[in-house]
Amino acid sequence: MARPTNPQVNAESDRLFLEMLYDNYNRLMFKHARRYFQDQTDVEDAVQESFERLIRYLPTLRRLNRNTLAVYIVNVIRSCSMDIYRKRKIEKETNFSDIFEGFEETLVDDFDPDCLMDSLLSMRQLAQVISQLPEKDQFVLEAKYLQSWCDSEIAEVLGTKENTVRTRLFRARNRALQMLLRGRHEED
Amino acid sequence: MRKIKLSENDLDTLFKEATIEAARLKGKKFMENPERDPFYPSAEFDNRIQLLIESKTKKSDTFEFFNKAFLAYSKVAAWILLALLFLFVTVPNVASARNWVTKLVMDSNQKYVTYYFQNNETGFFNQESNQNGLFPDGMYYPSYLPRDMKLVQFIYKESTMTYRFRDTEDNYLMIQVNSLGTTTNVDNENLKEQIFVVVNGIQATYSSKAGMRSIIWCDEAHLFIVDTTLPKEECLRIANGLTN
Repeated sequence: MARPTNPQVNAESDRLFLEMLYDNYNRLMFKHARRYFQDQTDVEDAVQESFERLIRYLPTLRRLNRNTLAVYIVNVIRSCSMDIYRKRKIEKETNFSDIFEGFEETLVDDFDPDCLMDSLLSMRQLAQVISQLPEKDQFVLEAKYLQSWCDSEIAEVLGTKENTVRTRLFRARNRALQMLLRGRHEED
Repeated sequence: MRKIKLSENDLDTLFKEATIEAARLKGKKFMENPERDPFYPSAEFDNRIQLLIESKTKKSDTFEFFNKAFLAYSKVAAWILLALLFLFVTVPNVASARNWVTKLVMDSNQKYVTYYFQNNETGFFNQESNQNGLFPDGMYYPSYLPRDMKLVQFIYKESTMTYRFRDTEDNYLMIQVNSLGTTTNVDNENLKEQIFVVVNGIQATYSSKAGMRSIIWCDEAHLFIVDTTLPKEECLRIANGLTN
């Protein structure tokens, strides 16, 4: 959906927006890049590459508010860092364990979302539950719904197949619904 | 409790809204943390990013130049195309256009015109064709010519028009059309033969001398002379074929 647009953005407003983006978020970018790289040069490379990628997603970025934009940027930093790892053929599972952890785990997929339908689903409750999901689930949900990346883009970032992405998304959603259901039972 | 049934689309929308809301909460924490983690990128790196922004947002001069060049080229090409279209519509081909211009020049400047024919034009007279598209209306031209006889020179003066032909066997033919009042010299000494013949219903004088044959006659407005090394019969056929 939000495929990278023509990188030759040329409006003055775009320049101002990009300057604002860098001024406001550079420390966040460096902080998260430092989670994946020790060397300062590597950190700077990751930030610069991420910034170039952000420019391509400029129309999407303009629609986001300050906080969601921060998450968007962090996710781009993460996917760029994974790319760098992949290019350099470094074992990435160590540094990206939050993304890859339990990737091949078996999960009971027979959860029926209809069992939740006897009560009104609250968006805020669901948001709370999503915040408590493992990082790998949050990442795939954010990639799908916040970044508006298509399955093939997510698969490229994660270095997996599109089918795997769809499975992970399905499981992440089921896990959230299960947690929501469990919370309600405890309340009752 | 109220029973509801969510469609896949509704669930998808709900997850989208919830994920964005969760991201907003998460982002709030992200934005608080950097304040506690002061880090200032180097000035050199800032400069790199600034250059990157400028390069991505600045309109390329080269690109603009090529745009302008392409626009100018398109305009020129369009005009050339229009001109060619006009030329091909009004004039069937370039040769006839040139003939047309030549005719205009000859009509408007009858004092002196000498036209040297090109190889591809000399063939025109060898097809026994009676077309005289090259010349102004009323001009005399030979409607019959022996095969391989090629026009090598054409002189068009104020009152005299001369055709000179030559073939591969070096036979020579000259046709001269003069307006009345023009003086000309005729060699009639030591003639081998001199008789009267009829050319296009007009009495003419045929003479031969030293391998050259001539026919001279006149109508109300012109004096005609045909000189050739060809036989008498051919000379007569050429004279009879002179038309306008």
